[in-house]
Amino acid sequence: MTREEQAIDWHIRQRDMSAAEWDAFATWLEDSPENARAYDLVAMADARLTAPAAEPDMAALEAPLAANDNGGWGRWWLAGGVAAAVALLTGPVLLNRRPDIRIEQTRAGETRAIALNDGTRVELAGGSRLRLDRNDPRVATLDTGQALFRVRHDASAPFELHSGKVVIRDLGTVFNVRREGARLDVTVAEGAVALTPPGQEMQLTAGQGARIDEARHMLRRVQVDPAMVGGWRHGILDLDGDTVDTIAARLQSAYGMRVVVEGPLAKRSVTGLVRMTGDAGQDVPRFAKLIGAEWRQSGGDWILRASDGVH
Amino acid sequence: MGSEGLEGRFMDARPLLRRLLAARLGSSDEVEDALQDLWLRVAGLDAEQIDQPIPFLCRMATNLATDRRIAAARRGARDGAWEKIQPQPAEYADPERIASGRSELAQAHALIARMPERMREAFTLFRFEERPQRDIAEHMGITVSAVEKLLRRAYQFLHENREVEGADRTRWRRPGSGRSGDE
Repeated sequence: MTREEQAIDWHIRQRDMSAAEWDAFATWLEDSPENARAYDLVAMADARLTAPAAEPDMAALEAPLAANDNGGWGRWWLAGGVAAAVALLTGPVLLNRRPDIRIEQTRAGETRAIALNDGTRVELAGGSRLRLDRNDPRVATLDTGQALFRVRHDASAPFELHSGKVVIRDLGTVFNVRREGARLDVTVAEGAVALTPPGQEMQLTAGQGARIDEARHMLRRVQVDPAMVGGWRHGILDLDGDTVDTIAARLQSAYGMRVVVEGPLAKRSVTGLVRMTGDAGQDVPRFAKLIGAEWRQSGGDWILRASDGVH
Repeated sequence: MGSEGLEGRFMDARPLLRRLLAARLGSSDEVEDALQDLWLRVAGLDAEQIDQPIPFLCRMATNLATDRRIAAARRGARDGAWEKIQPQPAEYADPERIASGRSELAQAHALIARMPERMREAFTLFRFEERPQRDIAEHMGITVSAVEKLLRRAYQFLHENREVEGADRTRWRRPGSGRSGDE
C-alpha cells in the first residue's frame, strides 16, 4: 500500500476507531514526517469539501435586504416568570423520556448536511452544535451556531427545535435559526413556525422573522426576503445592525477566519448584505473597506480597527 | 452540563492528543496552543452525552490539526505595518472572482459527479450525510468491507485527480491587478 493509500485508510476509519487504534494512528504519523504530510493532504482536501448544492442566483442575492421592521423592541416577558417557565419546559421532558443524544458539531468553516429518520433535513453552519435524539427525530436543540431546517411536516407530531429558553414548533416549513450567546434569530422561508418564548406564543410565516435577545428579554419582529433565508449556505452574510465584534465571531465560526477587532470599531453596528468567498485574503480586506476599517495581519489573525483616526 | 464534563477524560487522553497534534503541527508552541484551544472546546461539553470520550477527543484533535494546517497554508507572510486601504477594484468580489474562489470546490464537485454510481452513492452517504459504514452497507445491500473499498477508491479518485492546491490562493491576496474600477 502506498503512503497515500494508508493515509486514506486512516481517514476513512476514523469515525469508528477505538482508543488503541488512535494510538496506532499517532504512531503511524510519528513514523515519518512524510506520513503526516500525506495525511494532511487527504484531511485538508476533505475538510474543504462541502456538499454539492444548487447554484444560487447571485444577481438575486445582490438585492438589498428587504426593509426591516424597525418597530422597536418590545418587552415580551416578565423577568420573574422566566425561571418558572423554563422549569415547566425542561422538567417533565427530562423525566418522561429517555433521550439517546447524538451531538452534531461542526468545526469552524465546516458545514454539514444531516438527514433525520423522519425525512427532515438540516444544514448546519460552521462552528455550530446541534443535539439530536436518536429515539425522537421530532426534537432537536441548537446550542450554538446556525442551521437551516427543512422539516417533514407531521401535524400529529410537530417538529420542535429548542434553543435556550425558546421553543420553535414547525407548522410545515423551511426555517433558519442562529444562536449566538443570548441572541436567537429565527427566519422563515416557507410555511410557518410557532415560536414560544416563555410566557407567550407567536406565529411566524414565510418572509417573517424574530430577533430575540434573551439577556435583555427583548423580541423584535422583522421582515425578511424568503429567498435570503439560509443565504449563509451560499456565502451571504446578512447583517442587521450587528456589531463588528459579533460579525468577527461569525466569520470565525463560518469560515475559520480569525478576525480581531480593536478599539471602538468593535461596537459599531453594520447593516447590509456581504458576499463571502470563504477566502480570508479576499473577504477580510473587502469587508474592512465596506465598513471603513483598516486591517493588518499578524500570525493567522486579521486585525481590524477604525480608519477614521479614532483608535 | 455535568460538572464532570469531559475534562477528566481530557487529562487521561492528553499524552495521546499531544502526539496526534505534534505529528501534524510540528512547533511545540503551536501544539500547546492547539491543546489549549481543544481544552476550551471540551470544557463546554457534557461527557454523559458522548459514548466514547477518548476516540471523540482524538477526532476533535485531528480535526483541529487539520483546521490549523489549512489556516497555515492560507496564511500570508504579511505581518507588520498597518495598511491604509485604498479603493482597489480587484478587492471587490465580482461573480468572476467568486467563481474562482470556489473553483477548488467546484472541481471537487465535478469529480464527484464523474464517480461511478456506486462509488458516488457510498461517498455521498459517508461524507455528506455522515452515515456509519454499516448503515451504508445495509442501505446498499453490500458488506461493510465492500463499503470501505468503495470509500477508499473514492478518496483515491479525488486525491489523484486534484490539481496542486494553494498555488492560486496566495496570488489573490495582492490587490490592484489593474482592472478598471467601478466603485
